[in-house]
This record gives sequence, structure tokens and C-alpha cells, in this order.
Amino acid sequence: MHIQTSSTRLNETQERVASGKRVQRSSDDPFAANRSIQARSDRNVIEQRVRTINLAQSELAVTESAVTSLSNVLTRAQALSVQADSAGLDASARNQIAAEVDELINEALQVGNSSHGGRRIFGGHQADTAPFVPDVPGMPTTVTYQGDAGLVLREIGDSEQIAVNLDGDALFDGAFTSLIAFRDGLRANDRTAINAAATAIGAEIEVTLQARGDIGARVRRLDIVSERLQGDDERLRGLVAELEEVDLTSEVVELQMRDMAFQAALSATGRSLNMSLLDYLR
Amino acid sequence: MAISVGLNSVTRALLAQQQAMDAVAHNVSNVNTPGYSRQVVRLAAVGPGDTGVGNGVQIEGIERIRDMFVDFQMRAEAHAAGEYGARASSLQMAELALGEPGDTGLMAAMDGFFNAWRDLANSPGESASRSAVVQAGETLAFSARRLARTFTDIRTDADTRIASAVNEVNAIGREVAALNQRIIIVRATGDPAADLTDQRDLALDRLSQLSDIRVMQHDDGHVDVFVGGRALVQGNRVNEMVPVRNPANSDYIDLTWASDGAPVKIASGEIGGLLQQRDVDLPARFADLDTLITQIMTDVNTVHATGFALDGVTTGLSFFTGTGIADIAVDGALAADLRLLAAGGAAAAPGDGSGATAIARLQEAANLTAGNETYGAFYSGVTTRLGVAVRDAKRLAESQALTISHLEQLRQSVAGVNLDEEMVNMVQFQRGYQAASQVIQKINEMLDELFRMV
Repeated sequence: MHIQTSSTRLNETQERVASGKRVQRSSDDPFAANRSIQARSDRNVIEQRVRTINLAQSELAVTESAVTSLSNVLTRAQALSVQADSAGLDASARNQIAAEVDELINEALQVGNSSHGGRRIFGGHQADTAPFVPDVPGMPTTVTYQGDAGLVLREIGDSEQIAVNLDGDALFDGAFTSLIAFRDGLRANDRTAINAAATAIGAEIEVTLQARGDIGARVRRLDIVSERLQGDDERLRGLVAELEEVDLTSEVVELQMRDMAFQAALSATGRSLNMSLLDYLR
Repeated sequence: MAISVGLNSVTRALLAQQQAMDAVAHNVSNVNTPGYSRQVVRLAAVGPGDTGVGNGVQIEGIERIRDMFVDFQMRAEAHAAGEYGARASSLQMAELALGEPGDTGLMAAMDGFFNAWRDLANSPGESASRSAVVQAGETLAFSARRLARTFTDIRTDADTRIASAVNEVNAIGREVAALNQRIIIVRATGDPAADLTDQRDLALDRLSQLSDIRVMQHDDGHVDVFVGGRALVQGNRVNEMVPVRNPANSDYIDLTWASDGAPVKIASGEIGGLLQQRDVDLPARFADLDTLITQIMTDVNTVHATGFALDGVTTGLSFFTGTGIADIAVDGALAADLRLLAAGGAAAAPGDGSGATAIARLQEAANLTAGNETYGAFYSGVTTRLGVAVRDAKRLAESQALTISHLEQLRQSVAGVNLDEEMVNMVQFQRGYQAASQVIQKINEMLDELFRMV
């Protein structure tokens, strides 16, 4: 019976050394297993959160780049407005500038209607339809917004969300209005109108700057969350290892001890089986 | 007359030593026979007749060396050993089925499922994300159903083992009854029926592992065996246990007495342990898992019904079909048309994934109505309780086996044949025989002297 017990205990230690695991089943250490099960699950969720954060960061980068493009358009328009305000220009010169402003309006439309990952980035929740529609393509008098104010939210933690988009209407409406007014003023050769439009364009550039600042803050928040999650994941990985894995050094020592015990049990049994009075009787 | 008295004495001696040698031979032959108790010859001097000198030796009887108290203790511990052993093996099977901690069990399936909804929330229009959700749902459903089947299989396995154990109980009952009969007859002739009693004790040992029994010894040598207050064996009659299928309990067997169909009350032993596992313990643990899966199904379906499909219009659909862990499945309509998956949180908003987010958040909320826990915490609790039960059952089984082993050693030290001791006895009786035959020789020489004188 003792041989069997020694043998069983030896096998258990061998299994632990070979597999490297101290807890293979819950019964090996139920409370360690409990914590390990929960830790593993937490890591699974963190893995997905990290994916989400990476996605959000790229989406914010795309949004920022678009806002920058809009800002560039408006800055160019502002430069033109300074040019157009000089007293020495005549109607035909102003008409030429108007043609360039039309191009700028078209560029702004392109930016406003751009897509990323199959989603119109300035459409809010209307992801499939182009949010900005000019009434006359090429030379619009108004641009209508067809998107909505929906926030595209990314869940980066338990009930912790971040928006990766901006309100397209709020961002672009003023820009289009001021650009169109500028072009109309140029065509009408109206210096007052041109000046008024120039001021409006200046204000719109401010709006884009603020938008970029907003996005910058979001990106920084994501960085913080990302770092926190990496730290959590590392900690949990260590916890699972500590709970489940075997301390190889002490386990190998245990293995040798049990092996010795097993050998001793075998030897003792062998000896006792050998002794018999029959050996001593003639 | 005196000389012949002397001759009588030594003749008796020769016979006695011979018989004693026979006893040694019997013991030695049975050194490895399980359940054998060594037999010892009781020699006694024969009292004096008219001459005042004793009349030699006689064999008063052959004694069966057995410690009745150890036997009694052994049977008291055996049923516990049987019960713990049955409990440990059945619970271990259940633990293997759960397979936690690990990557292939129900926990991983739940994580994968809710993560798929999180990914869908990030790209609600993408068919790859939708497909992944349906896949993850099917994986979860499959894991759940497989768990349900395995638990049922373990219960059925216990049922089969109960049936075969009952067959064995009945067979042992018949054997004990037959032995009772023979023992009574043999003892009536003065023979202590040692070997038959050994056989009967061996049978009773095995029986006490299968069930808790009470053994009542009678003066004429027979025993009655009681199980749960009813007689299994009375003298040479057996009241067998009859298994009857119970449709109210998944067609598993109930045990009844053949004589009147009354239920058999077995509290312990292998059969008791298996019955407890099959009818109480395993169903309770399974019920916990069913509660979990049913809660997930209900919650997911409720939230899903408030969400909107990709067309921005369709709503009110369920995600899972089925009633519980045994038949949970993903609604075929969704698998067939992925656009119906309600990822949207509002009408006419194809870029909105908040419906999917709402489903994913179910994993984080304390939704279990009893105990206010998350799905994961509840499941982890179930697993831990099972792990503790397995560990305790194994420890109990091990310690009980140790106890039994010690009792067996104790029994062997009393009743077992020690070859060295028998060798000493053999030499003893051989010398006794030699001495007796020497005496006969001397008496013969004395008679020769006497006859020479005549």
C-alpha cells in the first residue's frame, strides 16, 4: 500500500514538472484557480480594449488630418482675400480669384465627404451617405448637410467611451458659407462683401484650430488609457503565471525526494519478502 | 493394562500430532487465499482413568483465529470508503468536463462572445464583424450544449454503475444465504465450519463496500444482513433488490425490495455515493450552469430586441433560441442574413454601434438575479465550489483508504498465516510425532522383555 502511495505521489510531482503547471484543474488549488479564471477573463477583455484603442487612435488621426486639410483650404482663402482686397484690382482679376475659390470649395467638399474604413467620417451616424451636398455641383450656392450629430463612440473601458468623430455640420457649415460668400463677393466685385467674407473665414480658421485642440486632448487621453491597460495586462499575466505555474526549482527537489522515498519503499518491501525461516531450517 | 494404557496415550499422540500437522498444511496451503483465517489446533490432555495417570492428548477442536472486533470496524469503515470513492470519481469527471482554468471552456467562450460584440460596435457595417459575432455565439452555444450532454452522461454512467452494483449485491446475498444454510448444517455436527465462515466474511466485506449494512450473528452460526432497516438476507432466504426505471427521474433506476416493492434506503457505500451524485449533487451543479446560460440568453435577447438591424428599421429580433443550456442556439435567421444583427442603437443610423455596445456591457454588469454577480463571477464560483468538492472528496477517499489498509494489516496480524510461525509449528509437531513414536518403540521393547521372560 505504501508502494502505491509513494508511486502516486511520485507521478503527481512528475506531472507537475513535465507540464510546468501547478494548477491544471480547479481541485489542484481551488482558490488560486478561481483568481486565475477571473484574471484570464480580464486579460481577454483587455486584449479587445487594446484593439479598440488602436482603432480609435487611427480614426482620430484621420479626423485630425481632415481638419488640417480644411484649415489649409481656409488659410489659402484668407491669403486670397487679402490679395483681393487691394484697390488696384479690377473685376476680371477678381473673377479669376473667384475661379480659384470655386476650386477651394470643391476641395473642402472632398474633405467633408471623405471616408475611412467604410465610414463617412463627418456624417455622424449616417455612415453610408455623403454628408455634404452642393445644390449646383461645381459652383454651389448652398451646401446641405445630410449627416447627423451622432457621436461615433469607441468603448475603451467598462462603460468608458470616447468619440472619434466631430460634428460635421458645426465644423463645415460656417466654412462653406464664408467661402461661398467670398466667391460671390469676388464675382460681384464687391469689396465690402469680400471684407466681410474674409473676417468670417478668419473665424472659421479659429474653429478648425479648436477642433484640432479637441482631438489632441482625446489622443492624449487614449495614450493614458492605453498605458494603464498595458500595465494591467502585464500585472494580470504575472498573476496567472504565479497562480498556475510551478516553481521549477522546488518542484524538482520535491521530485528527487519522492523518488528516493519510492525507492526506499521498494527496497524495504523487497527485503522483507526475502526473509524466511525456511532459509534457516535444514 | 497399564502398558496398553500407555500405548493408547501415544497412539492418541500420533493421531493428534498428525492432525495438527494437517492443520499446518491447511494453513500453509492457504497463505495467499483472500479472507482466509488461520486455524489452530487446540490440544488438551485427557484426564486420568482408574490408574491415576492421564490418558494422553486429544484435539479439543480446531479454532479459527479471527478478531471479530476488527471485522466489525472494517465493515464500519468500508462503506465510507466506497462512498467517498464513488463521489470522488464522479466529481472528477464533472471537473474535467468544465476544463477550467483553460482556453477552451465556457469562460473563454463567454469572453469571445462579448468581445465579438465589442468589435462589432467598432465597425457595425462590416460583414466580417457580423459574421464573427454569429460565430462566437455559436461557439458559446456549442460549449454550453456540450457541457449539458457531458453532465447527463456522467449521471447515466452513475446509473449504470448502480445497476451493476445492485446485481452484485443480489449475487452476494444469494451466496451468503447459501453459506448460511451449509454453515448451520456443518456446525450441527460439531465442526466449526471455519472455511465456510471465511468465505461468508469475505462476501460480507465486499457487500459492506457497496452499501451500509448491519450484520446480526445468531448462535447456530447463521447471519442476517440488513440494509436500511430491511433484511436482505435472513437465514437461507434472500430478499433481492429490484431496479425499477423511474420516468420522473430521466428513466434512471430506483431500488425496491422484491418482497413488497418498498424503496430501498441505502445511505452510504458505493451505491449510496453514486445515488447521491446522480440524484442530488450533479443535478444541483448542473442547475447552476443552466441558470447562468438561461440568464445570458434572456439578457442578450432582451437587449438585442431593442437594437436595430443594418437597414435601420428592423428591430425586435432575438439572438438566441432555445430554453436553456441543453438547447441554446443562435437564431438561424440571423446566421442566414447577417444584416439582421441588431448592432444599431437607434433607427436609421447605420454608423451607430451602440446596440452592440449595450450587449457587450452585459458582461460587466451584475446581472445574476440571485446573488448580484456578473456572469464571470458566478461561473467562477460554480467552478471553485466544484474544485473544492473534488479536492475534499479525494482527500476523504485517500484517508479512508489508509484507514482500511491499517485495519487490513491489523486483521492480517491476527488472522493471517505467518509462514515462519507455521514452520515452527511444523517442526514442533514433527518432533512430537518423533517423540511419540520413540515411546512406542520403547514400550515395544519393554513388551519384548516381558514376552522373553515368559
